[in-house]
Amino acid sequence: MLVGIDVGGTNTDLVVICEGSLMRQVKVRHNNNISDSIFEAVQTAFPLGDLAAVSTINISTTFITNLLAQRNLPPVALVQIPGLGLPSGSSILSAKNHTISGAVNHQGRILEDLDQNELNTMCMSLKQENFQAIGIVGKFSCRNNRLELAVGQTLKEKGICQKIYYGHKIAGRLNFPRRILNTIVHAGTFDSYKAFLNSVKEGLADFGYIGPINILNGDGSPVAIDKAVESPVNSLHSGPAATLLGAKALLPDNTSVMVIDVGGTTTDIGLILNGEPLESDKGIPLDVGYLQGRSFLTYSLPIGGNTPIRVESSKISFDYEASKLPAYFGGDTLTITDILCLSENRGLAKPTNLAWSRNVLDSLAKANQISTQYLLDTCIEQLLKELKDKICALQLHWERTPAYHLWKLLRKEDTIFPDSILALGEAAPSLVDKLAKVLGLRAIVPKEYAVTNALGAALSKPIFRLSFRFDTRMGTYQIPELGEQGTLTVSNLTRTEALTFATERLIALAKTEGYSFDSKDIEVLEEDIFNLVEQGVLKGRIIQLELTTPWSLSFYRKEENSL
Amino acid sequence: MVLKFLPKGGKLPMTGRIGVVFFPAFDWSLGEKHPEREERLLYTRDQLLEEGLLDRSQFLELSPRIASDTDLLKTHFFVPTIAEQMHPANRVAIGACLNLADSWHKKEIHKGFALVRPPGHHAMQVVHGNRGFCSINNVAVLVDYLRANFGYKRIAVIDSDVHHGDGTQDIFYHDPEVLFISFHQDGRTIFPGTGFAHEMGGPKAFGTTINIPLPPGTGDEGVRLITEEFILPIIDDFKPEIIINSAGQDNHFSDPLGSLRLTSRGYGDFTKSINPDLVLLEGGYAIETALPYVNMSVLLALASEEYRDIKEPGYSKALDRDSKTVLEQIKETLYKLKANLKNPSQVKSDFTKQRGSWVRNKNIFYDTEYFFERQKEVLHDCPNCSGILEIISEAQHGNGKLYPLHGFTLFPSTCSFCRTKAKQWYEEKNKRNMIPSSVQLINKEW
Repeated sequence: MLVGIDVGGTNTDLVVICEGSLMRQVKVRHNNNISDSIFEAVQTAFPLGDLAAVSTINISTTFITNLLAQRNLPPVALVQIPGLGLPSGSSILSAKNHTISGAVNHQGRILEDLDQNELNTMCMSLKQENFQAIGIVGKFSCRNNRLELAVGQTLKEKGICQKIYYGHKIAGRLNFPRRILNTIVHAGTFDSYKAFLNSVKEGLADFGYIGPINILNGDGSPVAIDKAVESPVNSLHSGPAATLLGAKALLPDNTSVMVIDVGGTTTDIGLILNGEPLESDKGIPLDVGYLQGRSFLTYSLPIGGNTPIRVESSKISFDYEASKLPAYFGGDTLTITDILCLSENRGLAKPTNLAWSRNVLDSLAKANQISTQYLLDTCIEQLLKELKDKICALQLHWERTPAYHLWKLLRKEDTIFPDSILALGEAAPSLVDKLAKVLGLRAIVPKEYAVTNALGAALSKPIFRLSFRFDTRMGTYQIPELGEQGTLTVSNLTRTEALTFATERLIALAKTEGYSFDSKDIEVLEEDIFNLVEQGVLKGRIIQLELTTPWSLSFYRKEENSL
Repeated sequence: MVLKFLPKGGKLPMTGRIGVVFFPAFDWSLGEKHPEREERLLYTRDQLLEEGLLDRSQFLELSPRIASDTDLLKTHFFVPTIAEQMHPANRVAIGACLNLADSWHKKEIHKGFALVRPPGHHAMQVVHGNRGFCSINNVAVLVDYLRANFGYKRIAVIDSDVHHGDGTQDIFYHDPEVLFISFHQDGRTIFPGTGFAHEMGGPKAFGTTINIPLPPGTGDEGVRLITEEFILPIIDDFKPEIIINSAGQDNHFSDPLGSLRLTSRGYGDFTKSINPDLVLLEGGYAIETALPYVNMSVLLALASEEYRDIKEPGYSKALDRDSKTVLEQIKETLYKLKANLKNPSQVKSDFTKQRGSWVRNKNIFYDTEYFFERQKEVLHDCPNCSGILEIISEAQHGNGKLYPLHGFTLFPSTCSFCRTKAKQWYEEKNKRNMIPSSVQLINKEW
């Protein structure tokens, strides 16, 4: 028995899957305390506390998103080593920024060492500033972490600060500004996230559940709760991941479809191409910049079922910043949900609830001296226009996605943009036919439309993915996702040797999490070999590999959703 | 103490986005140790990615596309066929430029930079093979694409590679609507051995090709001098609708193939001065010490952002000034050029007048493949237009076979009378032709 929980902006959904069938589904409106809403959902689904048969609970949570949106983090000081190139990275979120000398180049060669006097002066300053957490981030520290570690060592020796966070460990891929942002966000959210995860674990234990609990990452991979605490940033955008996994589970293999999820406060649009959710080429977007990490490409509109309709001097608009209980559900505000239910033609809306919506609609129209039909039609037209614009923007983004290899460009040229929409969320049935007509696409609403996110969370299975960079000229290797850097033991590493090493490391990583794979299971996603030539002489090579374990979802009996 | 984020919705001010197509072709090379190998733009990728430059809202990264035969056949004669001379990597490099052109024309971007390989400025109008690492002339195809698809009439190409842009010069030598300016290391000291001050355009397009040979040792100061004193006034006088920079980066002080001494700051200054609409990467083989920093400087200059504080390896203040000897040689060259422009009849010409046409013979060396092409150019004069260009070419390729070509080129400014005449000649020649594709017509129109 699998349990999937998705914490959204308005509701928390829970599904129970038993032998591939949806056995139970629960929706609770939450009061902004995520833990409480999780427990309420579990209690509602299991009123007798019968969790003994549950083998896994997977949770998609907005905890970190909410924390960042609240706009306050504990203050973190930043020590940055920008080296060559641009003089500094961003210090946008740090409470205090210190920029010091030192330079590492793209090879990982140290071109300029730390200046001890400068370091001592900085330490005196930091001692007075008395920050609880300090992030140390150097340019190209992902190739050579020595300068970062040396600064950390100095801080420790001088008794400055207990909590030191290293950029190369937290964000080991290229991109110095993102590395800084990842480090600051990590440092600022780590303690809160740990407390939250502990409360979830303890709360579920109180219900009698002590089995595996996984937190869904933004790349669609669930991570054990004890391991998830190590990387708060990875849980960002897990909601869209859950949606896309759920959609994938409902579709035949190799389908291409556009997925539109109308939530309470936002509408998210993503893509599944040839059966796989499309990954974002931009990492993890935040309103203050990008973070390193994997997420799926999603475009969002700040419009959802709870978005109120505003009428001022006959001008009709959506109140993007607000979220109100729809009249359809007993509230006193006309919202998108009301508009869609009043105009849907599948006969799915409940008559009593429709009457509540109609009351509020009539009042609002009368108060502003406009006809109800005009109000209704204008809202629908505006909503469809905004959705269409967003979809066009998504398509343009996909078309413009860069390709640095010939083979990737040729593959992209062969991929066709989807001609179908899969609509999800409570308002899905009301919206999809109109939207499909406007866009000239086919429409699908699966029967699980209200809980697809939780379904995706429930069915998700861990994926292990690592990238490797071997530099035989420098005699070094790096594994960015692990923040690991090492020395090569062979001088002229071949492609086969590199692949063997990488495969064994990936299998070993999976094993530590309790998953067993064979080398033939491992897929090579990317492989590049660069000959390093100086003055006409071959000096070595750089071998870059990206490997993954196979990606699959737990078994689910899907209906034949006609496309 | 509580830390606040930026206000929601706060954005950086934008003057207009800079479109960037980055195509390092990581899975293609001309040979495992060839300068045009997969490694060439690897460190540029590393530096740009590590600096997070393309995350900034000022930049919009676009994708390349694969250029079609139609795009390419507006500019080149391919011998024997396009398929035998083209690799997909060439098509993508050009496709990158064309995508940028589309976005620029639609005003989706304010300016564009195609950071692509392989380069193109040594590929001439007739393509028998690869020369100077170039199989197809990216910038020339771009110019003809802009004219044919969007009707732009007057276009300036500024070639700032250390090597003379002989291919681009060849393609537009008789075309008075394209201003081609190339400054480069003196041809007596470096490949391709051309680009001298007297090469100023064909008989019907005099003054629209400008070559500024520079002495070895020229750096930022010398380039600033020629830009301010000569290049900018010429551009101003020509009044182009578009300025394109064929931006080779082998002028850098650390480049292994050239002997000029530019710094990344100097490149930024040059870019800022000429204010191009589109920039294309050409050569540049100091792949660790120059390309990563120069490309950043160009990008930032295009975006009107600060580039002068980029720290590059090996820089010293001595690079900011050129020697007195170098500056004097440059001044002398500029003096000669100005005199040539004032007195065209005094300028040495490679053409001889024969029965109403201008004729010259050329030997073109294909260094990558090690053979010569013999070519005869005949410009059929017309009192009303730029005339008809007829090319008779042959070369013995690496396989030992002799490949002839008889080509006719019509410029956008060629009059309808000449067009009709040329098409008749082409059809007559083709009828009698025994070798497929050895008679070709390029019909350039706005």
